Amino acid sequence: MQDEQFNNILKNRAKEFVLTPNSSAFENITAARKQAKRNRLMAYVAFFILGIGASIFILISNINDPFPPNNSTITLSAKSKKQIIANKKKQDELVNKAINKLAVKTKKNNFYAKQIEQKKDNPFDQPKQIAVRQKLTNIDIVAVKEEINDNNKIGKLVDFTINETKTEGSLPPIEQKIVAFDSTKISTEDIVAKVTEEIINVPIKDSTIADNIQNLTSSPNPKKVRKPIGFNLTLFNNYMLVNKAYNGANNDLIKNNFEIDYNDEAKQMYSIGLLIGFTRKNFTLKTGLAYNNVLFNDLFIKIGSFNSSIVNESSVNNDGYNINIIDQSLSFVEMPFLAAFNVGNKKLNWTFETGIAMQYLVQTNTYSLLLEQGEISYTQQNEAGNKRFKQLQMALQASILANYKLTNHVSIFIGPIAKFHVNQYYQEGFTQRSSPIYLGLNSGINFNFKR
Amino acid sequence: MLSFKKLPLILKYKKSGITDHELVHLCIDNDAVAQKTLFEQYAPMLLGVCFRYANSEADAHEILQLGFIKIFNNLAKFRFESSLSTWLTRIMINTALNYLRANQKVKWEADIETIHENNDFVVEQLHQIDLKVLMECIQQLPTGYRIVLNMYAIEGFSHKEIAEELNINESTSRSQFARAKVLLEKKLLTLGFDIKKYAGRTI
Repeated sequence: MQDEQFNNILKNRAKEFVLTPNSSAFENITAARKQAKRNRLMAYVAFFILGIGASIFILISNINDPFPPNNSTITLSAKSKKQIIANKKKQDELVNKAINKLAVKTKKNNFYAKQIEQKKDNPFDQPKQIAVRQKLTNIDIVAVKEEINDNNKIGKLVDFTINETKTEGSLPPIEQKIVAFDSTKISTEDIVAKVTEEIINVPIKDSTIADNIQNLTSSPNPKKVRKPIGFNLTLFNNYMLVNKAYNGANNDLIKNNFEIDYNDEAKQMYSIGLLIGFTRKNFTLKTGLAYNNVLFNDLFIKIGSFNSSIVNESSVNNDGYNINIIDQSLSFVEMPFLAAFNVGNKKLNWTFETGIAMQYLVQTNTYSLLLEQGEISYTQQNEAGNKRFKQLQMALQASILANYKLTNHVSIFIGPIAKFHVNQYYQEGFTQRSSPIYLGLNSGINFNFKR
Repeated sequence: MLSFKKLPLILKYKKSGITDHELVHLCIDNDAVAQKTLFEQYAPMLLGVCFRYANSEADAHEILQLGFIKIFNNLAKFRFESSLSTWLTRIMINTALNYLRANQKVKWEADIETIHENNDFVVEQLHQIDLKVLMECIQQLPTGYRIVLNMYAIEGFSHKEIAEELNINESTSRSQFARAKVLLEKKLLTLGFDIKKYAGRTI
């Protein structure tokens, strides 16, 4: 038999073939879907709780007093102490000179190409990497307007009539159908009025029809729309200035060995990241990844010749004196764990967001100015990690955001954000202290999906 | 007097019946009644599809449930570029193929004996034999034959499409179909001697 003939006969016969599914099939399907949804929710909540737990663990292990206890001491060689005290006056002059020179350089801008001038007896290590330090640019928020196609909306009110029924005996089963309407265009009260108006106008021959309708209203499966569970994706950009840095210094060091001066120019933080959120009703849990760049525009000046590796590893180790002026930037990879509460359902609404962020130091960029015997040289080091700074950080953050819905799925937000660093940036043995509070602007774009 | 406040907003009476478009949108909105309506409307036909691919009726029911879970989870992706029944059938076929792959290795059978065709008799058999018996004959074929026979003869895929879907050669697809056809014809011939026993049996 030719294939075509065979195929046609088989195809036509197969079209007629139907089987009755098991009576519990639909219930099994519904139960399986609900279980899968619960499993996804549990996995997300478990991950979130794990993140909170890990953050608390870091908090407990790393938290310390921003100000060192007064009775801490660092031992230095006797020779160093004498020389420092003797040359104090000269050091003052040199410090001022160095400040003026560096101030011009660092205040100019954040873009600079680097030149290394190294003297033969330059005590600094060879720079591990030479790089151009570039300023982060702000991200442009692209608002995409989506035209809503009316055909996609369930905005129909379908005409209906009530069929005439028998006046005696039980009514035939009335097929339940669906009325769908667009709640943004017509209110609940209006649609009920419209539906009932049409019911009233149809001549009802038997009061049992009305009774049956009432019975159907208390059907075992009344329509109760559950709020869908949503997922969203957030792209954000932060720019913050330090409001208050608990800058301090080791008092014993100042008293016994060093004179440390610093200039409280504002520290800045740039942040850009992507968050994934899980939304139920007005409550959202978010986590994701971000890149942080913290800029220290402070001038830290250390004066004195010392023979200690505690304070600064790249310090001069000679009989003279040196002034070390450091300009610093730190790069972190951050994982925030945030909880947000949304208020309002209109186009413009508000979000209150708070949470914690775990940060891992991935790179430091140190711009150092060395003043030695009246000569100035500078170097720049880019390295992954740094012994001066702590590798793991934790910050608490809170923000109030104004959201504007561009479409049903896309919204943009902007608002103030405050971030408090729980730990010190610096390691224990260093004289600098910094545990800043940042205040700034949080902005970004949200993509919302519902299930 | 009707108590209008009690009237559920989803209650309506319509002569012409709800359209596929409305039904799909309501299912996407997690309307339980709409989902049940979709299931009741298409499950018998889709179970028939599953039956043809599965190794047994129990497997067919299992595939149906897995398939409908996939359907409800992916209904939002349906763009009405084809008919709803075509899209549902396609999903069910994919589910069946994944099920067969996961639960057993699909074997591509070797040569079987050729038979002398009794053309007219086979044609008569195909027309007359009870539908469920015919489908059971298809179900009893080796898995590889069965899949290719279903996809080529009934669903209308080309051998090239079947080869891409099943990750086999086009020539393998052709040979599998040829062997499936021969084997099915052999079964029909065998049953044909007992035609009175099998004809007219109700499903």
